[in-house]
Amino acid sequence: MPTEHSHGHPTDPDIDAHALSEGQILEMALRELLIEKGVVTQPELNEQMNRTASQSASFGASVIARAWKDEEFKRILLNNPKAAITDLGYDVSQMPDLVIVENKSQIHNVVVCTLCSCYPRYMLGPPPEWYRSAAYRARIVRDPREVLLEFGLKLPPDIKIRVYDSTADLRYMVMPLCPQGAESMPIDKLAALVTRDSMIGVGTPRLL
Amino acid sequence: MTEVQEFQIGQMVNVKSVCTNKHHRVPFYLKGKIGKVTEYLGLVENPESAAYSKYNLDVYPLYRVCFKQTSLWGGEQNGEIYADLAGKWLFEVEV
Repeated sequence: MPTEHSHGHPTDPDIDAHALSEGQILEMALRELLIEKGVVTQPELNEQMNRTASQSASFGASVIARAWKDEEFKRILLNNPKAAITDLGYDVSQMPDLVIVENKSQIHNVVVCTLCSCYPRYMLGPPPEWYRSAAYRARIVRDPREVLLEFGLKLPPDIKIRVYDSTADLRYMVMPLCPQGAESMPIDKLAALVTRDSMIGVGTPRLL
Repeated sequence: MTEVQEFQIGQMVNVKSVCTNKHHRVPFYLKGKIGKVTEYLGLVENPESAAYSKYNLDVYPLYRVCFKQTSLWGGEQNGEIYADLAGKWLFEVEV
């Protein structure tokens, strides 16, 4: 066996092998102060971080699928989304107000926040990177049909596109159309068809 | 500041073409453009104060306004853009 190691091994730096940014230092200082002064406790912070990390689009999908199966629920959901979701047993009282816009055979809805990146996280989980990009935010209001085409969604020219720009206090999401032939499927199978993108409006649910 | 609904559903409004360095929530591409009020959304906190942690100082009426793609960009797209805008950023136009 050779006594000397004759070649080098490149190593990637660890993800935290860099100097802390000013923002990170500020966050740590503020967090430690809040805990020291008893404003929040570490377990409360952990619980909130877990709650945020576990949010996903599957919740929104289950709500949409239920609406497809239950006309009365759908009526309430479109009229007052938070009340309908509360009726399902979820506490959304601290969440921003929500508007659900329903796709029709001749109207396709799509959501953006051109000013920042407002997004109904409690329904859809964390937003995708592209949703926050300047390119999406600028182009979807300027040329929605072309942008949707780039997402792989080719809409017939007679379908009107409505872009909802979440400029203020309300969060928006889309209720896509139930794919033809899927109406009789059970809720859990339907929910699997409802993608995050279909609830932003850059996709549509398709039969698997 | 007006604290009641001042525009009616169906009314045509113009978005003020004003620049400010305050935290306001009016996209530049809508400034100076004409749209139709489609819904009254109630009173909300004014972000021009709330952004500086001054809460409950003033509220303003919020409206959903519909703009035709063609009125914003020209061309022939048959689409529409909806945005929620504060009454203080709108004024009535004759059509």
